[in-house]
Parts: sequence; structure tokens; C-alpha cells
Amino acid sequence: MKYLFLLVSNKPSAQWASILREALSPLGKLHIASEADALHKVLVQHYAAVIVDAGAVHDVASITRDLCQRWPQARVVIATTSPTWKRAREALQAGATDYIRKSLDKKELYSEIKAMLSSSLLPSLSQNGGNI
Amino acid sequence: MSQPTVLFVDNVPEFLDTRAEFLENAGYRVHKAYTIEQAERFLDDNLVHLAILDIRMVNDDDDKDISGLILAKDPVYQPVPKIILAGFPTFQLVREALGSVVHTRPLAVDFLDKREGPQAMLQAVGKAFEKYVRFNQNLRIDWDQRESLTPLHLARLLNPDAPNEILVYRADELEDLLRHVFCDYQQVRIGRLLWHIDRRLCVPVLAQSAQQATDARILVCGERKPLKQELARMQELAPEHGSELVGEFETVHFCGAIYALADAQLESIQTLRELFQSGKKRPLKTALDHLLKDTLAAWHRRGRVLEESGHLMEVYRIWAGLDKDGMSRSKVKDRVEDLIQTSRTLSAVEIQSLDQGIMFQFPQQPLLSYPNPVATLYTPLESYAGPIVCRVSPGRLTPDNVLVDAEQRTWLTDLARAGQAPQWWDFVCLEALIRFDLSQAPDMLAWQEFEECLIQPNVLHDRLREQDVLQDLRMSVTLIEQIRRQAGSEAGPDPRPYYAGLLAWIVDAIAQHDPNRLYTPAEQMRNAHLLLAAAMLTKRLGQSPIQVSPGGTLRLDEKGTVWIGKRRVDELGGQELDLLHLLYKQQGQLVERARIVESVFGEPYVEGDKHLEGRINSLIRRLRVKVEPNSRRPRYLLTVKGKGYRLQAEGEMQE
Repeated sequence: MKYLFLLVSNKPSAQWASILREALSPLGKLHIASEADALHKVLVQHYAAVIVDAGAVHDVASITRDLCQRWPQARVVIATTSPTWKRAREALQAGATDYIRKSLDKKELYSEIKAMLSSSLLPSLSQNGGNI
Repeated sequence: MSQPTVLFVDNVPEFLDTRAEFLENAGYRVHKAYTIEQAERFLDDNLVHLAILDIRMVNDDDDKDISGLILAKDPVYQPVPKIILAGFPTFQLVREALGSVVHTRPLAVDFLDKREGPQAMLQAVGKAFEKYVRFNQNLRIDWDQRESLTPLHLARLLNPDAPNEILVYRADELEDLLRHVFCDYQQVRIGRLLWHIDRRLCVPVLAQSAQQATDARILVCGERKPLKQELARMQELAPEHGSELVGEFETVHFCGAIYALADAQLESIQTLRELFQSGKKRPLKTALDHLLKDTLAAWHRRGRVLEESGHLMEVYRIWAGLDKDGMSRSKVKDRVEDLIQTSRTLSAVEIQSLDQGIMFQFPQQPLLSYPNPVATLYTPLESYAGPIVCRVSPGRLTPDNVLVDAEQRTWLTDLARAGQAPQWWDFVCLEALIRFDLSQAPDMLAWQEFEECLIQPNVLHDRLREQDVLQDLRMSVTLIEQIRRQAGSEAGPDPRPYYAGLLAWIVDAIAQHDPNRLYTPAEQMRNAHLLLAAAMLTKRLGQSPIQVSPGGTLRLDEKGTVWIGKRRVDELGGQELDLLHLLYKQQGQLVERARIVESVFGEPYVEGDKHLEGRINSLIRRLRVKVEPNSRRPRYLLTVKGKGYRLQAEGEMQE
């Protein structure tokens, strides 16, 4: 099964975006969109996960809330270079599913996202939600 | 009325006691637990709306100590919203507490650093109550006066083994559950107990909102885990129409589900038992018709699978509950023996166990001996080698869990055993509940005649000779006939798998006999009736294979008598016979509707005359009922769509 992922970043050419793309390639494809475009994209396409680059958006909690409002089943993962417990709390209470370190290690990134997808406790990927 | 209650768990008494005081001053009741064990005891025995858990409950200096988090993860306490407290917060801990998803919500609803102070804690608790606890403390709950229903009474029904001191808390918990489930209303009125089965119960509820709008609901509540499983099954299997699940809520020990029954007036809802006991034949037949053709048919259409792994008797044993843990064949046999021993003293009949079966001695009748029903139930049914088709079934129908409204529409709210069942099973349950739970007879002789009548048919839709049974039992015979007709229509006319299902149901009922219990005379009579029915069915199943469809070639002899194989068809009236003759003369060929009207009715045919078309359809239908093994699947009188009919004397299946 192949998945579709969405990276929300106002800096699409950043190095990390291509690292993430490579890391997730065994699992599927990665789309990249700015904040504004992402809010539109989730209405027309369901993604297995929406990964928010915390350093490349204006306000993590705000974009998370907006994404979840438009698509309540969204799995929003916040990726940050400088995780703090307070920001983690804020993001998760805004509706994010997970809060991870923005690793440069592709294996680590792959494992984090795969673990989230494999969780049987999350809403299932039904009706082609997030599948290619 | 229960007060908002918080369980505060921290191993540092000074910290806990100080913070608890803030909460108490804010109006919360606070249970304090200084160890994990104390916390577990509180959660097991008391009503808790929210838990505040310190992460390091064993050693504050050990960064590997996450004992509080482990308690939070315990699925037993999942329904209780939690706030995690940390003296040394990290993003990984926050991630674990707020990012993990258990069922539909995270492990915890908030995460606090102890250093954030009591005001931050009060705010977090307030938010948690508003968003996650959501129970209406001001909900007015009126309980049914007729049955003296109270929360304590219901708690006893759901937890019969709990000691009294625990029951008080369970009663509070149940009342709490109501306040959660109906949190958007201002007043509810709980009606009488409709059914109580296996630690679950069902009551009607009238709920009024602040805007004075009222909603009629059915509440099913029970022990948490089994009811959650039932709801999961229901959401997977139940058809769209019927009882609609509109809400559910769980506490640590209970789960409650709210159903809406579209347009049903709850005050006139009654159980099938109550309707039967009213003696009103027409409403009963109408309700049964609705149950068979509407409610159950919707379930059966949900899916169809072929059971290939076992033989029919084995599948039935599983469905009847005979293959449960601890219920071995020898135990079932012992129960039958026990029942024989306790039934032998009935005045109208002597019952004895033989080496290979059971003997009945009715007064002034020859000895009747029958094979052992248990042996038959545990042996593949040799006379039936057909496929075992399974359909989605709502589970075990009983006289009390089938609800009927004032318009005789039927509703099912007990879905604990829903699943893929042999396609005859729902019909078997319905017949069995009429036969053994609802019908009444004065003595065993009456039951013997009743059973003789019911085991005669060679095809399911055969008419039953109700004139051979006691007057009091004739309504039951009519209803059973109605059930079998629908069973034959859906599952085919062969009665063997149907009788086998009845045998499984009966033996399961017998297996529940408790030799240490004191039974009333009426209960003893029922037990003896079960034995008799099991014995007679066993003999019937062992008889040479019952001839069913196709039954042979249809022919008219030189006198014009109609035969199907060796069976003479006697019951044909004037026009039915004329039609059959007409079709027979042109067997294999199309006979147009116009020709039928002119030859049989003796009238000119007027195309588009709906009344005339209805008469043709009705005549064909009547003829098919008398000739066809299964009138819904004709083999001899076949429709040529849009044109007319043809007769196929050898019989062929038409889809």
C-alpha cells in the first residue's frame, strides 16, 4: 500500500524537505504546500499524514487548528528542530497527532511516520483516505 | 446528585494536600492517593470524574520512573480523563501523554508542570471538566414509579455479585452515566425496565431540552467491556434502518448506548411477550410480519457467506452457545440426564432415560421411545449435505428483546450476539420462543399433540394442521406457520436444517438447567416439554431423507388430476385448475396474459387494465402456493417477463 503525505512549509526548497521526501519514498509520495495551499489541498485530497515544518510556518498551533477544522480526521505531525515541552503541549492540544524532532536521519524519520501509520488506534485509512 | 470528583495522585503528601485544598475550595470533591495501589483502589471502587496523576510515583529522583504514566495507560481506566503532572517535564513525556491516541482521545487531556502553580492547575481542571467530563450536574432525573426503578436497583441488576458498599458507588456511577449521556438536556424521565439479559438492561427515556423539545430514546446499558464490543459489532453489522445509535458513553465500569426509534411512541412500546400475552391475534400477526419481512430481512440482506469449515450441527452448537468454555458434550449429556430425573415426577407423563435415548409413557398410550438428542446434536447430520449459508443476524431473539410499537413495527436493541449465523437461525429462535417461552398448555398431552403437529411438514411452507391441537395453542401454530413460510422463502423449503437448528436451541435451553434450583410446576412442565420436543425432533431428523423440491415431474392424468412426482395436488379450485390445464396443454411454450384472461376468466382482455392484471397475478400466486415447493422460487410455473407464463413440467429454477 502506498500513501500520500503532505509537507506544510513556506520554504519548499529547504534541504529538509528533500530529506523527508527520500525518507518517506518507501511508504509513498510527498506533496509540499505552503500554509495557504495546504488548507485548500486537505479539502480535495486526503493524506495519510500532514507534516508541518514548525520552522517554516507562521504559527504552529494556528495552522494545526485550521487543518484539523477543515479535515477532522487529519493526522498532523509537527516536526521541529527545537522541541520544547510547552510547544509540544500547545501543538498537541491544538489537535496535532504527534510532535517529533526534525531529524536529518532518514531512518529515524521513516520509523516515526511508519509507527504512527501502523497505530491501530488511529482512525483507519478507509475509503482510500491517504492511499494512492 | 454527584459532585464533580477528582482523584489526585501524588507521592509527595505536602504537595498533594496543598493542591487538593485549592481544588476543594473551588468546589470539587477530592480523593487523595499517595501510591499507585491506592489510586487503583479508588478508581476500581469509587466514582471519579477526572484524575490528576504525577508521573514519578515511586522515586522523584529517578528519571526512569514513569509509574504514573503507566497507570494512565491502563485501558481499564481509559474512560476517566486525566491530567498528567510532572516535576521535570520533557517534550517526549508530553508527546507520550498528549500525543498517544487511545480509542478516540489521547492518553491525557492536559499536561502540567508542577511549578506552574495552583491557578494553572485549577484552570486546567476547569477546562477538562468543561470539555471532557461534560456531565450535567443539574439534570433532573425522574425514575419510573411503577417498578420502583432506582439507580441502586439498576446497579444491582448489572452487578449482582458486588457487595453493598460498592453498589452505592456503582449506583452513583450509573446516575453519572445518565448525566453524561443526556448532558444536553435539562430533564429526563426513565421508564420501566423493558428487558434485562446477561448484565445488560434496556429502559425507555423521555428527554426534554431547555427549549422544551422532547426526544424519546431507548437506553441500553451494561458492563463496559461487553457492551463496547456489542456496539462495535452493531456498527459493523447493523442495517441502516431500524434502531439508530445516537449516543454512547462509558465510565470505568459501565457503558451506555442511546437509540432513537424513528417515530415510535415510547409510552406504547411493549415487548413481544407482552403483545403475545394480550391475546390480540391481528396485531401479533402484523408485528411478526414486520419483524420477518422488514426488520430481520434488512439484517439478512447485509451479507451472505458460505460456512465451509464445519458441519451444520457444529455450526449450530456454536451459535446456540453450546460450545462455550466449560460446556463439553458430556456436561450437556449430564444436564439432560438431570432434567430427565427431575421431570420424571410430572403427573401426566413418565420420562425415563434409556441406554441410547429417552422414553415417554403417557397414560393409556403405548410406550414412546426416542433416540438421544445429545448424540444427534454432536454428530454430523447425514441426511443434509447442502451448503451452510450464513447471513448477518442480530443475535439471539427472545420474547423480551423484541420491542413492538403501537403500529406493530418491531425494533431490536439487544445485539450482544450479532454476527454471521446459519440462515435459519433467526427463524428458529422466533419459533422456539413461541413454542417454549410464550405458549401455554395445561398438560403434557397437549404438548405432545402440539409437537406432533409441528414436526409433520416435509417442506417448510406446508400448512400446519392446527385443528389437531388444543384451541389455546392454535394461535401459536398460526404464528409458527408464518415464520416457516418466511424461512422457506429466504432459505429454501428443506426443513431438515431448520429442525436441526431447533434441536440445537432446545438442547441449549436444557443445558441451562440447574439441578440445585427449585423449579415451579410450570417451569417443570416447560422442562419436560423441552425434553419431549428434543426427542421428537431427533427422531424426525433420523428418518429417511425428507423428500423436498423438486419433487418430480408435474403431470395431469387422464382424469385431469394434478400430480407432482408421487404427490397428488388436491386443493386446486376452479380457475386454478383451468389455468393449470391451459398451461399444461402448451407446456414449455409461452401463454400470453391475454390468452389467460380469455380462456380462464372468459372475458375480453383489455391491455393496461390494472384490475385485470391484478386478478391474473393473484391467480398465478395462488396456484404457485399450491403447486410449487417454494412459491417465491417457482420451478414449474415460470414468468416470461412482460408477456405471460409457461409451464415447465420437469421443473427448472428461475432466478
